Amino acid sequence: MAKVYSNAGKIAACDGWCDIFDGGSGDASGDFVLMTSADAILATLPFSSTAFAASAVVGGAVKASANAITNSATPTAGAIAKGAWRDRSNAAHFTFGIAVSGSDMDIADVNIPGGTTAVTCSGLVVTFTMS
Amino acid sequence: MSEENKIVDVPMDKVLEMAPRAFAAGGKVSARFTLGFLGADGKLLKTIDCHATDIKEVKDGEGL
Repeated sequence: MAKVYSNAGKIAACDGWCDIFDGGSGDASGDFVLMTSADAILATLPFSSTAFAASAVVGGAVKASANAITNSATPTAGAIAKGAWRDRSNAAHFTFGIAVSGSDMDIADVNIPGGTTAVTCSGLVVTFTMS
Repeated sequence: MSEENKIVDVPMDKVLEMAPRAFAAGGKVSARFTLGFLGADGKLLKTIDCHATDIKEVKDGEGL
C-alpha cells in the first residue's frame, strides 16, 4: 500500500519547517545570505520577522510564500557559490550550492557585478513534498 | 513531477534535527525566487530567476 499523507499533515509540517527561520535570538529576523565557496558572505537579505506566510495547498502541492524580504545593504562583488537561510541567531537551517551547472541550484550567472548597491529577492516560494 | 518539486532538497539530517516529526517522515522542500541586483541610483542591473536545477534566464536591466 502506498503511503498517504493528508494535506493537513503536510501543511503542518511545512509550517513547522518555515517557522525555524523565526527562531533563535539576537537579530530581528532570520535572513538569506549569499556566500562564496569559502563561506564569505557577499550579501545578507533579512527575512520579515515572520519569514513565511502560512502554507497552503496550491495546485496540488503544499507551498509557502516568504513575506517581504529586505534588500541587502551594499553587497560585496564576487561569485556566489552558496546560499543559506538562517534563523535570528544566524544558525543556518537550509544551505544549498549555487553554480552555473552541476549544483543544487543552477543559475545562468552567479556573479554579483561591481557597482551593485543592493541585492533584492522576490517571489520566494517553497514547495513541500513528502515521499 | 512538477518543476518545483525537483529543486533543492533539504538535507535529511537538518530535517531530523530541526523539523517536526511529520516532516522527518520524508519531507522535502524546494525553493524558487528571483534575485535582483541594483546599481547606482537604484537602477536594475540584472535579475536572475532561481529555481529547479535548470539554467534560468538572466534579464539585463536599465542600469547596464
